[in-house]
Amino acid sequence: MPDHDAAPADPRPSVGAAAGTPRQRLAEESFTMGELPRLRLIVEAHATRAGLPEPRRGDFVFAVDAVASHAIEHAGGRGVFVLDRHGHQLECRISDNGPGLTEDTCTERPPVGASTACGHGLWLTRRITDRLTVTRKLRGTVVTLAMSLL
Amino acid sequence: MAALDAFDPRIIPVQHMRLGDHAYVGYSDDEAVRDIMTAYAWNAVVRQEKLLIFAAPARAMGDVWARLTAPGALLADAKAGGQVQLASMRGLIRPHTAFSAERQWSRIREETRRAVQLGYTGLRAFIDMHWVHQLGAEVDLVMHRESHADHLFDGHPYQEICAYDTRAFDQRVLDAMREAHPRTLLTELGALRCSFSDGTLHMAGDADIANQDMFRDAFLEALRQSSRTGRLCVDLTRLIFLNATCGTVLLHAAEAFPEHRLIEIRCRGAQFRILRQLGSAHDPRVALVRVES
Repeated sequence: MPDHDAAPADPRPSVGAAAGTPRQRLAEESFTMGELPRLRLIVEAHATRAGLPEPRRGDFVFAVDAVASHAIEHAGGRGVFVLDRHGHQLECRISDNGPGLTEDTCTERPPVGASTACGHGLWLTRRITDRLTVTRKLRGTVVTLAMSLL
Repeated sequence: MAALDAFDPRIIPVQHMRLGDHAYVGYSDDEAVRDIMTAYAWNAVVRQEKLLIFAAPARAMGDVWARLTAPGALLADAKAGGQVQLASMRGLIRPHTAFSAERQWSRIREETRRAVQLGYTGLRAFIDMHWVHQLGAEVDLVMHRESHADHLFDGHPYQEICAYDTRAFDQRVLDAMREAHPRTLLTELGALRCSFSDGTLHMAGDADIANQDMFRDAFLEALRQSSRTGRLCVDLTRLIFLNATCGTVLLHAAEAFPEHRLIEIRCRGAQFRILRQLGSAHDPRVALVRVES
């Protein structure tokens, strides 16, 4: 069982997630660095079954990995991953117990040069996902990524 | 100085297995081979192929299913509908009791035809070779089967992984079996293998947070080794995953090697897209070449 707080669902309305549509829990896992390859497989398999086509499926896997890797590097080496289907949308929430991300970390401006390689992943994540929100908790952060299936 | 592996074009990650492939994987870590089996099963569902799993006879069926079905219900429908099935070599060759290559080949061809008739795109099998000891089969007979099985794969919708526990077979057998298979799998999920040959750096596996230091070291070493010619090819076509850190290394590390006139990066669609968005155009010496799967 995950040992972190359960990641709350993002309450914001979004493209493809019709109001009142029930959430279908596809996967829930706690992770450390060693589990990332498995996490990417889970995301890819569920995204394929849900009908998310390439290249957006690859983008989704890249984005989930970028946020999970950030939790590993900067928020205590572990996190909790939840994948839901909500209407015509796939939604992934990654929570951690560390200082975590802020909206500013996921900059909309491209980082410059190689020295900010970590920032490139989060910058690209914001560009290639349909929705990215960062919610600060009392202890840690929840990052929500979503891709529309429409 | 980074240690680069010897280049072996047969080595691929399990996710790159396709119909027609016959692969060897050696293991001494039970967890690692279970991860490979699980990835193979999930991929079967994604590709609409039927899967037969011949697990090690000592393993309880419930244990195998628990591994495959966690997390969530990814394989629940496939299990219920018979797309993924646990099998045994004893059951496959029945009513024969002794192993013979001909009997096994004939049954595999039959199962392949049946899978296609049921609407699957093909059949795949994961075979833990512990069955050899369980059935008391002669190892030389099994080796003959393994090295003369091309007809099962050529032009047929069938693929197979043969998993050899390196603790259970002689090194002579393991070496011969690795040679007999056209493919060799990386021994664990998430592994990265870097090798350099004839001016080309080959990367296979996952370039992620766990491997990004190795990735950087290998790229820098390849740049050093190719300084004399001023040209380097980086082959990413057997890469499963490329994160932004590794992508940025590819696009920027060559700045310290002004003698290079061309760095050609050959990659599949997903990596091509990521590298383009990371700014592959910023260095005119870097040429991205998209290779279709």
